[in-house]
Amino acid sequence: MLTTIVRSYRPISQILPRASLFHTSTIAQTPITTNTKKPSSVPKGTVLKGLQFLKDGQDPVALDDSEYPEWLWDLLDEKKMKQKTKKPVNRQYHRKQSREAIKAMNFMKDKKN
Amino acid sequence: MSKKTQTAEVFVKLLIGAGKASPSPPVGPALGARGVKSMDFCKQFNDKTKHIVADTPLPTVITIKSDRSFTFIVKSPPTTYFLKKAAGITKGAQTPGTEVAGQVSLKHVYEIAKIKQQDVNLKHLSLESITSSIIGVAKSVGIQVVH
Repeated sequence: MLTTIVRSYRPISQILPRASLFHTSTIAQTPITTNTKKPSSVPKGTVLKGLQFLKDGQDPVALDDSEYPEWLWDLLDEKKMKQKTKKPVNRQYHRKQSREAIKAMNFMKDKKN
Repeated sequence: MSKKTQTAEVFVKLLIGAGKASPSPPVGPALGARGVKSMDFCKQFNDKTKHIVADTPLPTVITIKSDRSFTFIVKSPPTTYFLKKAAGITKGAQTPGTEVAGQVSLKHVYEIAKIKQQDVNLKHLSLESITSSIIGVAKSVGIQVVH
């Protein structure tokens, strides 16, 4: 039987005390940005040409970035779009997937049929 | 006893310029072969599309019944047409994957999706799914979608 060696370390905050305790004013405080949104290449008010096919209509005008729905800005982000494919992340699903893969491989390797 | 009349409906799909129906090549033979008088259709079509800028390609689906009567649905112009106009180009890229023919922004794509959602067959879809389809179409034509 293996015996697990328990090692305990002091948390880093005890070894290296927070710098703010010693000097507060000299450290530059980086602002925490919750909304890191890239501004759109089409600013508010630009006429979106070519999208009017009615005779008496007018080309639509671009609105402010915030007036468009949230999901619009994620559409070009490949990572985010892949996350939305809604495959379950549990053991049952993955076991089923691997069983199906094994069956497929066995079918392909079956030389008798 | 009721008679069951079999109405074998034939669908004819055509791409016609707004207000410009009845030339022999596209419309005439396609309808004439199924027994529909092309002049009748052309008058109705041109009436329906007179509020649209002339020459915009409009996909139409004409349903012809066995008694030679017809109904038709006019859909919104093709997505590639909108994308090319928004990008300011007349033709798409020769090799779409590698070549970039033009650029379009997400706001353009959003407006195109709003127009497309008015279509009969797209009304049930969310704007999000329509916009992602349009981005896919832009890829196939070699138009880059920018933020």
